[in-house]
Amino acid sequence: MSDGFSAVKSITSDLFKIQMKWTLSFFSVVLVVFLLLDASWFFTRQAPDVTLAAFIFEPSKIYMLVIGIVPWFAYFTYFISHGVTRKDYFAGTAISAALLAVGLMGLTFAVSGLIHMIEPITGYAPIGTEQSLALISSHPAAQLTGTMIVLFLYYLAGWIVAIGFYRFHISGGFASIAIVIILLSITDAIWAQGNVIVIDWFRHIQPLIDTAALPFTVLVGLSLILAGAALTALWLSTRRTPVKMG
Amino acid sequence: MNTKVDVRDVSLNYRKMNVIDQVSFTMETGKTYGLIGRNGAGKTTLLSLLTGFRLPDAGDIQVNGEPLFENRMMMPKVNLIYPADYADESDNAKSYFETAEKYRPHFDRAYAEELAEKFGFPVKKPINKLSTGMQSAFNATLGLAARTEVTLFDEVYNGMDAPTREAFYQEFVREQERHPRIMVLSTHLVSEMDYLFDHVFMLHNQKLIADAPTDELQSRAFTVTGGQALVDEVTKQMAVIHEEELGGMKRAVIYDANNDVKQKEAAEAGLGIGAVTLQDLFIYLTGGGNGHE
Amino acid sequence: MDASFDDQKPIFIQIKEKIEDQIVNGYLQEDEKIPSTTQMVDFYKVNHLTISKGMNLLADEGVIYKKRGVGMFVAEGAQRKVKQQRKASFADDYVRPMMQEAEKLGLSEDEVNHLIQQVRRGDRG
Repeated sequence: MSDGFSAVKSITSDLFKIQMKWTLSFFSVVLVVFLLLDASWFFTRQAPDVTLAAFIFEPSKIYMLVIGIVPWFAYFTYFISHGVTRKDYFAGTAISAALLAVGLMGLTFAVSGLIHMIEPITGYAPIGTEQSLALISSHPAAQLTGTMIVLFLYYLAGWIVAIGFYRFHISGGFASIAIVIILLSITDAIWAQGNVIVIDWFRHIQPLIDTAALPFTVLVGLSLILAGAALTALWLSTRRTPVKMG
Repeated sequence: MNTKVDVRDVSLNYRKMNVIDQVSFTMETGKTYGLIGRNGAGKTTLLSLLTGFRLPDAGDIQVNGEPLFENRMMMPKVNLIYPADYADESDNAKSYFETAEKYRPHFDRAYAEELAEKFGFPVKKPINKLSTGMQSAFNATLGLAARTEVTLFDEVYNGMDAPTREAFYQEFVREQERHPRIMVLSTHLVSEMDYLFDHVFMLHNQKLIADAPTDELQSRAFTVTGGQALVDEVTKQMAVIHEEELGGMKRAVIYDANNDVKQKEAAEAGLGIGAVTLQDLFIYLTGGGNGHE
Repeated sequence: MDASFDDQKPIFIQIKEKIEDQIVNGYLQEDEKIPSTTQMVDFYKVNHLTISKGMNLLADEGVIYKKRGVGMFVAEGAQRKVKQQRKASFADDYVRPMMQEAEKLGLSEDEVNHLIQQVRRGDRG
């Protein structure tokens, strides 16, 4: 460790490497399932009607929720015991989560691109009629951005559950689950166009807001406010938390 | 560089119970501090406060004049070694060394490997596959090799066999000579380690009941032995912390800051004078059910 | 070389005497390096400050001397010096306690002398 040592940078890169390894396994499994489901193509020669990007989106949300929970229990005490401050660990977790969302989507688009590139050889071309985020289907870059923000929010949700149980025991853990259900319902209401997966009745108030009519930048803005609120709550629960000496 | 730790009026409550009650002391580089107390006296809690694992409810802890808690400059310099639960730890010692090398400014990798060999634990085997004694030896290695300015060992001997403990004590003495730091050894097994302590903190019922250089603390206590009646007579005005009788003879243990005068008094009255070990002093001062008032 | 201590005398005095013993017995020769503090801590299981206190006493008396950064060495004429000191305190350390005990038991001076001679003869053979 030299004078130029930055704990935030180190923690970010360590946490990113660990979680990206898990993510690669997750991605491989989903890819295999996707290809197996599409195996019918070999017999029917009928192009499947879902793209990899659309197919992977829902599992990715659940995946991000889960790995939002795990690292806190596995690594918080570990790194604090190595002399890292809560502040730096917090920042490292947040940044690595954002990078993870980017990484997972980057991977998806890269592999989709690859499938597309080798189409002349394989003749295999899944054509997406069903998009991951129907709203922004017009522009791939917008779709990519929206997807990553949603994944990041799902990670934050998992993290809230982790802190809930770590800091506030069982009762706090269950309270945090309630908070997370609301957070994710709002997220889905903003982005999923009547396709709210967590709280069904959100679908009924959605037309009141009619997010479909809102411009893309407003949706991003709303999501970022939501993420900011989640991060603030996380930081307030973290900055003085006693370290569990397990 | 010299480091100074200041603990001022620190208190901590846990679920409405007082765990640490207005504790104050200072520590400085080059000294080994023995933190002794019975189980539940608050040793581990005090150490977790000294590491910034917790924030005290009252009082403050400073390192070189700066608050310790969440201090980016200080946290890497403070290291608490405790019997962690490694049941789910499938990483090996080597990976811990790699992390320590990255996050601890003075971690000596070569020395860590050397200690692993000396203490006899494999560095490539998952830590949850090591015996308790080996896990403790691994912990001790992390503490010695990290060379942090403040190194705190909480009951480090847990499960170690006698030869490994002996090897640890030897390395401990050498390290303190080669790379002087603030070292704290918390223990309730005093007799084996007392010679390592330059200074003693005795914790009892959440309070610090002794804070003194080891020899000074020990010299406050002495035994007087003689006929029962004579011992009773002479010790009437003295602070007796323990007494025992055997066939008309009586031995009383006196604990008094003004020990020179008292000792002379007893000797002149014809009583035999003896020294008290730190272990015995600890037992007398903290023993007896819930302890000394 | 005995690593045990009694509780009648301060430990640092006993450390000093143990080093002196090694000098008197010739285990440590003039200008020879004496064991380091750390070695003595390991051997005697006594705190390094106590060891230093004993060594400083010997250094003050000129029995050992310090070479900066190297360690402590036995001074010239150390053995003679220690023997002289011990002779001077022989009466106090050994004869007086013996006579006190003899008095307690009612042994006369002649009887004590006789015992001394007996022990000497026994030693010879």
